[in-house]
Amino acid sequence: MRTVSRLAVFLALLPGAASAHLVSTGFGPVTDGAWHFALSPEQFLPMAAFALLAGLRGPVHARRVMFVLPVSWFVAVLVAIPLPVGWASIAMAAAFLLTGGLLAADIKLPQTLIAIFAVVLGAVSGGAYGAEDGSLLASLGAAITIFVLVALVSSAVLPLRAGWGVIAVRVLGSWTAATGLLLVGWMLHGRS
Amino acid sequence: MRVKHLTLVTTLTLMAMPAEAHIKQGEATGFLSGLAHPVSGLDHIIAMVAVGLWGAQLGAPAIWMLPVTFPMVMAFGGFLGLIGMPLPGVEIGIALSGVLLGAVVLMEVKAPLYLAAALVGLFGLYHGYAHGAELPPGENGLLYSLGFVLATGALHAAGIGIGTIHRWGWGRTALRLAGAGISLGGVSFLFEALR
Repeated sequence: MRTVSRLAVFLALLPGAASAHLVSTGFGPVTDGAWHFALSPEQFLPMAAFALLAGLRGPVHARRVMFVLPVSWFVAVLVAIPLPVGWASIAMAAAFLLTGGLLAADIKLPQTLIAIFAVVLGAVSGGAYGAEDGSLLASLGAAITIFVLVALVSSAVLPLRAGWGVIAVRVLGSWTAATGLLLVGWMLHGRS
Repeated sequence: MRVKHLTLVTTLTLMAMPAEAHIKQGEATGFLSGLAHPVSGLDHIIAMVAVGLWGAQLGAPAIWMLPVTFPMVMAFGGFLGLIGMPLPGVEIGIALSGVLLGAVVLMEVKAPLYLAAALVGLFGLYHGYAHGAELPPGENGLLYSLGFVLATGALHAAGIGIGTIHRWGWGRTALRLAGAGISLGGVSFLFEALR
């Protein structure tokens, strides 16, 4: 009876796995962080849209964004900027609207402005991510994923200079901006 | 012995489930729900395909400008629906979009770009509003919106794809017939809306 009682107490005290926001790949925290980022469309999609924008502007812009975006994102996670309640949702909607709008309009932004936008996008997304899950190695994995994402996506559109390819990319931008606009509606709907 | 078993069974029954706070469950449903919404009504489908057909008839730059602007205008309509802004005659507006967009495809109207964009934008507002006002509760906002926008874009792409037959003589006739069919469909939806 005593053994059973001990077993019962032991089982009752077994902690449940806290799986908040984690992706467990079994390959360690760096890979977990990389997959977490890749499976978070709210983080992934605005960066992909920005990579498309940088790629359309040419190799110099793309190279700069490839380094600036992951570094600013990683620094924002490390610094762990204190965020007001609900800020992450607003930042997410703004990132969709801004990157999608710029891409849809195909605005010829100068290098400096593209770099500033990359810093802002990285800081905003990194701040939102850090508020959710800011472990160092997982964030490093996510930052590496951003680097690879920008490299792959921007290099895919670098050869495009005119024609249907550019139009298709701009359509993707309008879809991104439309999603951002709907997200703002969802936020206001939730508050009403 | 029975007491031992009872203790163990009770403990196992009452054991806490793993805490899975914020695990992303049911998000695929949100995406699929958004994806299904624009294609759930024939009145929406015929209007959005008509936009693509008309764009193909008008040629550049309308052929690419309409699919770039329409999702944004439609999303703005969805935004108005989501925040509960009143918009009178939504069902009539949607039915009229079928009638008029079908008619311009039937008559192959070569409207100036600003006029085509204004007409398509106005109807896009009504369609988006209806979707925004009818959103299902409890869905993931981002994934629902993504599915919604993707489905809308896919319908335009289908319209533009069909519209490429415009380069052949028989294709032009077929497109005009399709426009007539869309317009007739719109008339039947208009009767339903006015009943």
